[in-house]
Amino acid sequence: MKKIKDIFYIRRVILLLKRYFLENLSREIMFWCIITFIFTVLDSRIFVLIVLFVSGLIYSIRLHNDLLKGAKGIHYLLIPATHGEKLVASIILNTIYHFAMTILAYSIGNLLVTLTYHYLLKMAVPVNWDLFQETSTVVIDGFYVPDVKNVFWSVFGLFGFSQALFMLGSIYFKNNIVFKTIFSLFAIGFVVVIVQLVMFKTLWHVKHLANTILPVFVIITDATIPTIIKNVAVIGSYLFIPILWTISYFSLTEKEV
Amino acid sequence: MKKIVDIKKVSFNYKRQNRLFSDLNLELYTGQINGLLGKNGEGKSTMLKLLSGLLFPKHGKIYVNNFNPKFRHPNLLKDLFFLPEEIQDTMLSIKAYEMVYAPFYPDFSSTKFYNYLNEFTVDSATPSISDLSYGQRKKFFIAFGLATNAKLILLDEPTNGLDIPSKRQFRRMVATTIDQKCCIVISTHQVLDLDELIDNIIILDGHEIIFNEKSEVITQKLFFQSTEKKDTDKDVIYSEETLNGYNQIKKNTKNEKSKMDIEMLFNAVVSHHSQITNLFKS
Repeated sequence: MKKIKDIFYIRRVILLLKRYFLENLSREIMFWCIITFIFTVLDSRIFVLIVLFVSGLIYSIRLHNDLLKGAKGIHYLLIPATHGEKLVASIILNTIYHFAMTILAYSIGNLLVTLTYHYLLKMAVPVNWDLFQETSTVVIDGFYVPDVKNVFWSVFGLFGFSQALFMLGSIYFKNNIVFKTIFSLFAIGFVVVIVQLVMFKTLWHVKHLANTILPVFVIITDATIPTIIKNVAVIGSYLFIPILWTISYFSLTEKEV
Repeated sequence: MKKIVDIKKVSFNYKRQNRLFSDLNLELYTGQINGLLGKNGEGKSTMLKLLSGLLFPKHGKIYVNNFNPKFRHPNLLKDLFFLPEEIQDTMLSIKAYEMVYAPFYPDFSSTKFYNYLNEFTVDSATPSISDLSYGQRKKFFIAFGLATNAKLILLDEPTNGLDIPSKRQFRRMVATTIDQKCCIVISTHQVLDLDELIDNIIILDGHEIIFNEKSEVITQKLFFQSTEKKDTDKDVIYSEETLNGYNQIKKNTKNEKSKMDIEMLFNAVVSHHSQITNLFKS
């Protein structure tokens, strides 16, 4: 009897991805065609980001709901691959692949609009490549100057966080995934905010904190807080994603069907 | 024969439900086809899920091929195939399915797979498995499972949805698949479908294993007979009236040979448990 590699084996991840694409090929083509069409009609930056996050959320939940319930769940959990390999395949699909495909659909949609206007109506409509550009105005020497920032990594980070969160929710909860995940997020967030506020108030006697709901977005404005604490808070906010993946991994290992 | 399944003092219950199993013990060996029999709701499917690591025991230990199935280790899963009662639907073609899933099973035999499909008269050129009927799909998954050359094959109600010729083909295929490295567990309440196939009979009743004996031992200890008139011999353990007379089980005191009737045995064990248990203990 042949023995197989029992630690992380990239070939099995590739096989899991291949499995997903072959099983869902027609559904994927249909989905991305619809998204591309939507982007040809509505290409506002905010709308694209909303589509990215909402479709990502649905995608993440559907992916795991499909895989972890009933006969499909039995089949999925018994595929001879480690939980780590299964989770990495899911992360690639619902974070990297979905993000890349949304950008691709946006780009194609935009290009289609430009080409259509150019060739059919003989009108020049520029291609919008500003999906990850945030423009604000700054005052320099009394002049208002536009300040363009590239927010690619911020958007990708936030998307990764959202996907990781709902992936965990879909593994952990059996039903009402969206509601239960959001409720849990607020419950945990509320507790962390309270702990954080108490810490800031008692340890560093801080009086001014920006009012935000989630602790990850708390902007520390008070100069009395040591820099190291500020840095830890910033690094900590990035660590949320791998932490959620790690919890998802353990939830998957404990999953029963 | 090698021990492949070792269940030690296992207790299990579903969330917010009464205990299904308490202190369950069972050992299974390679080279055997085991029939797991029991009424509905006795925990047959649950036991198969515990063996495949889809459910975790609350107490006790389970070892399958020296692995704890709870961890769903790939080296265990490559040697374990579980066919649930409710089978999955997939848009893949048979060839694509083989292409996707066979690489996960290093001992998979493509030749065996297509031979089984032929025997089951499943068209391997079908564009999508979801186009197959329920029975055809079930036959496809049985063929795939047997072709994996897994050491432990768990089949939950495999004959449900199969037509009469397919049930015969299924019996033949299972009988030819079994070798000294493999153990097959077939859970069913359709005991007649397993006639002349099973080496070892396990009966679940009252969420306990009340009977676990080899077929050869059963026919050594018990004599199965059909008579027109009721035999009132003191050795008769169980008797049931039929249209043609009586089916009876009696102690095989004269060491006679008889054909085991699994359905009658099941009824006898469930209704005369202590009497039969004492006979086998002695």
